[in-house]
Amino acid sequence: MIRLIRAEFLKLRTTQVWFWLLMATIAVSGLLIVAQIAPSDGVRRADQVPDMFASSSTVDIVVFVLGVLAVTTEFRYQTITPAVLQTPSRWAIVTAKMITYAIVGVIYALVAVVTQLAVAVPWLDAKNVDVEFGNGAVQHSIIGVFAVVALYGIVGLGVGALLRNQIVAVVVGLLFLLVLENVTLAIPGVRHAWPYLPNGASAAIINTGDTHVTDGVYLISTAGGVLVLVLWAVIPAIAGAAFTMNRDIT
Amino acid sequence: MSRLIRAEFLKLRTTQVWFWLLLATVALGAAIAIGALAANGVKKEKDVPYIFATSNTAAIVVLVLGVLGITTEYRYQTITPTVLGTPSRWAIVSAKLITFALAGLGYAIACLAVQLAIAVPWLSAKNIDFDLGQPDLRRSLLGLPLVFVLYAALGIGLGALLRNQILTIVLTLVFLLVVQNIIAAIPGIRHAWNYLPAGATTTILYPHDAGGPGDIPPTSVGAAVAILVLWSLLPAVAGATFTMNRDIT
Repeated sequence: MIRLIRAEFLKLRTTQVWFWLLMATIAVSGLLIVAQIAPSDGVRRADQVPDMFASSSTVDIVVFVLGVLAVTTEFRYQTITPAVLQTPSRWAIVTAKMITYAIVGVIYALVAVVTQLAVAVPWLDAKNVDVEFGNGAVQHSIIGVFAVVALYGIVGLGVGALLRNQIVAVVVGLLFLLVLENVTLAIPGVRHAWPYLPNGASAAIINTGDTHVTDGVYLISTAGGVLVLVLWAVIPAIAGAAFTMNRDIT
Repeated sequence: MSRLIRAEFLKLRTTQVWFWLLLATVALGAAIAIGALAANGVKKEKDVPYIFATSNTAAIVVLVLGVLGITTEYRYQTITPTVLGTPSRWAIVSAKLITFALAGLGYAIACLAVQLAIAVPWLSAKNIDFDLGQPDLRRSLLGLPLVFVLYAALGIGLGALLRNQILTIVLTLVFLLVVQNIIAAIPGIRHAWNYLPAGATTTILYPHDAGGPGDIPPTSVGAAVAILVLWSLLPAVAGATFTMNRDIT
């Protein structure tokens, strides 16, 4: 398993995608903070700081794309053929990728959070807004963003393992996360499922105090959010390893 | 040219992608209409245009169709016989623009038909007039097909410019769904929002007392149409002139 993980890191390190998505992570993280401090009605009080970090978790979709590409690029460029010839067990392949991208997710999340802090802290200081690192809500939001961004890597990986086709996985994944979930939240009845969707779970993890979303929809607990997001990563990955990845490779 | 267009329709018809994206468009349109009507967002006659204006989100699916229209040729190397048959990149891109604009129109009609089938009886049950004489409603109903057509062309243009399928899709979706919203929030550059696809689309479809973010005054509808047309044609021109002439590997 150690060798498989090392092989996964080698695959990642020796292609360009990690670099460009890292740049995207930094750029989107920075811009999200700028967009919340720069406007005249932006962040001006210490109690707005947790929400500022919470809103910056959108950068998770960049890491999601990285995770999707992990499996689907192998199918796209047919490197999956030598990969499964060497390691016939799909479980071993998916597990090695899971571990690799959990670690990679942590690194990207660290970069995202450091970028956000580097933009926000001096700027807010200049505006005489205190970022109270001792404050529970501030800590919760920063650690929450870190956890969410780190977990989206393996969520993407699960989706990629399940769908295999690169373009299908990316289009379905992005439209689901960025469009369909918001539509779900608008429909009465159906909206009660939202706390258990990836965005709902992320909101629960970052939770800055107010758990009421809209019209009788409430966030689940922080621990519950982590569990739900991990399930969103693990269930598609298991389905992928058990079923779709065993299909003929053309 | 009419042969090239027929060839493009043949390519589109004989692969699966049109069906799944049509399904996605219609499902998204239906979900948006249901969301707007069920959640009591529509209370008065003047709220009715929002049901249709909001479904501009479904145009993103048509944009994906356009992007795939050209990048799939590079992805599966069918671009090689295509350019051997038709060496002029201008001819190829023009034929694709026309074909996918028509396809976009078809998708818009399907999407609107489903939305009207949901909205008209539901509005009647709520005792809200569906009055086609209302200018805002007419504009949102007529604007939606235009937006779909232009987004399909935008997809072709971006695909021609970038060629790499996954790169084009990721960049485009992240730009349209994330970066545009960020730009709309940053002072100084936020007024550029009117000149982005989202700003132009909002001006075309939404009633003018609402829709845009905050206090950015909308341009005129004519200007918004011109902006969106430029967005859909400039990348196609750049693609046909430069990137599509590069070596095909």
